[in-house]
Amino acid sequence: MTGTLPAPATTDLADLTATELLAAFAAGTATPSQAVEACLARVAATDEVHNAVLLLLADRARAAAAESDARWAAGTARPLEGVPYGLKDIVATAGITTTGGSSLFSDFVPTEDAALAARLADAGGVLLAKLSTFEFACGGAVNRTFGPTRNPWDPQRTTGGSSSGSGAALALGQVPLAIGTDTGGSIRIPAAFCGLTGIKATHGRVPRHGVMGLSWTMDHAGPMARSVADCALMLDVIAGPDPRDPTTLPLEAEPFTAALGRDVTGMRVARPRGFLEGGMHPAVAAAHEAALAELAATGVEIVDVELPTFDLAAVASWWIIYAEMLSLHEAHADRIEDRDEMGASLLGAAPFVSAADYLRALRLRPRFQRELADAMAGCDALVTPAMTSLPPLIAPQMVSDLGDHEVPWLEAACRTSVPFNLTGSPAMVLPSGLVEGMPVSLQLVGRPRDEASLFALGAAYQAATDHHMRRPPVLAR
Amino acid sequence: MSADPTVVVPALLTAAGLAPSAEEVAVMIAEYPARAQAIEALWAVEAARYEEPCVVFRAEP
Repeated sequence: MTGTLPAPATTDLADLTATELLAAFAAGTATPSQAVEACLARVAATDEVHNAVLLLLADRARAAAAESDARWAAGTARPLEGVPYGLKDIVATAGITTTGGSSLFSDFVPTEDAALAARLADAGGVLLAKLSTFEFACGGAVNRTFGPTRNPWDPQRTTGGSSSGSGAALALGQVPLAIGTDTGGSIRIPAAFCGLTGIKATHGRVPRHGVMGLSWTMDHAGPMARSVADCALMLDVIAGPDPRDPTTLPLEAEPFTAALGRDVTGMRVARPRGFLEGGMHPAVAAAHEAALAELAATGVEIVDVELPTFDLAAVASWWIIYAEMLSLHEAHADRIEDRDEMGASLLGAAPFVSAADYLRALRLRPRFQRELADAMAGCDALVTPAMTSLPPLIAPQMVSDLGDHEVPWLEAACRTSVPFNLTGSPAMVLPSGLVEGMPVSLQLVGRPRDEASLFALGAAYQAATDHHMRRPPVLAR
Repeated sequence: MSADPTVVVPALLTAAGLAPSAEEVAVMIAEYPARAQAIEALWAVEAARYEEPCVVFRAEP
């Protein structure tokens, strides 16, 4: 260990959020090197069972942390100086293997960092590990090359995905920050299943240059963390225009962290009770009602709205993903037998979408955007359950238990998430309780480019509740 | 082309250069009618024919 100051006697630095670590570094009660050692110790203690880490970068992280120690001592610390983080292994890292979670890329070493990876490093973050992912961000929970990632709350259950390693690593305290990607819910599903906070920001908010593509009009990259404040901190670093990604948005006038602590009294939140609250496990539905009561208790007014055709939004979303996925994967479509079973099944469904069907789905996108905008008129955000069921048991073909029947797990998992990939809306998931010992969550959806309202509402909810503070039983000491 | 899933599904897979296992093809054949029905629902929204198909899109409608 290279730190010169003792860690607080009763606090394991691996349990702190990024915001808390930065405060400790600033106060001189901990150093980045100590934080990195704590995270490495947590990886050593937990990863054999949970399999969140694909590639541990211990030596590299120790060297970066030593530089951060020096910057804090010299008064030249950057926004994430010394904070350990992990990257989903579809994010390119120069000189470091980037597998995409696939045997087809098991030896692939990029020569250039993804835009967001470079921004995290430039902000002083310490890359600790490349993290597990469903194959190419679209496979199943049982990655046949690298094995399944197991949910920290119950290792028999999936973390969800495709940002499976990001979800498990954060819940286990292996890192306080991680990057996920989200084409149909892949930030929000593992965040919900693992009791975390995650945000898929507005389409174009985070540059995707260097992130392996799955579906170019549906893909998003973004922060996963253990608090709303940490997501805002990370999004401030990775957001912003990039000439290599023509969809990127300009910076906002204020950083997202400025929205934290804003008074939410009188803000209005729209509640669509139709498709987005349909097909829920009864216990999850009851927990959702309790969470809405907690949200209302922060001073927010919740009003009922209608989204009458959003059942079609989910269909259109999948048709776009199928078509764009087959196009992006055309170079190795003939090696489908080397793919994980579920990824192969999804890819196998792609030829059933004709060019006309794909364009029809694209033509529907602006109609769903307007339907959502109309429903949110006069409101600051929209609220839905993040998930309609508990995390499924790990299996090659998983199913979700809805109480009186089971459905294929993606049908349940993406029901409330994928429509907002289609609209490009910002959407944040935050923990809202436990059902049968497993996390359940709320989803807050904002207007395009209005992540600030989500951060204000989410921070107010987390200031009033302690759901995000709960840790999996495996960490009980 | 025939509407028979046992004809359509193998033909489309072949055209796309995909060769999944016989078991997977059997599942796809079984699921094909529901997929076709879902696609039909998209075509039922008549006004969508006048929208721009935004291949590069922005979140602002």
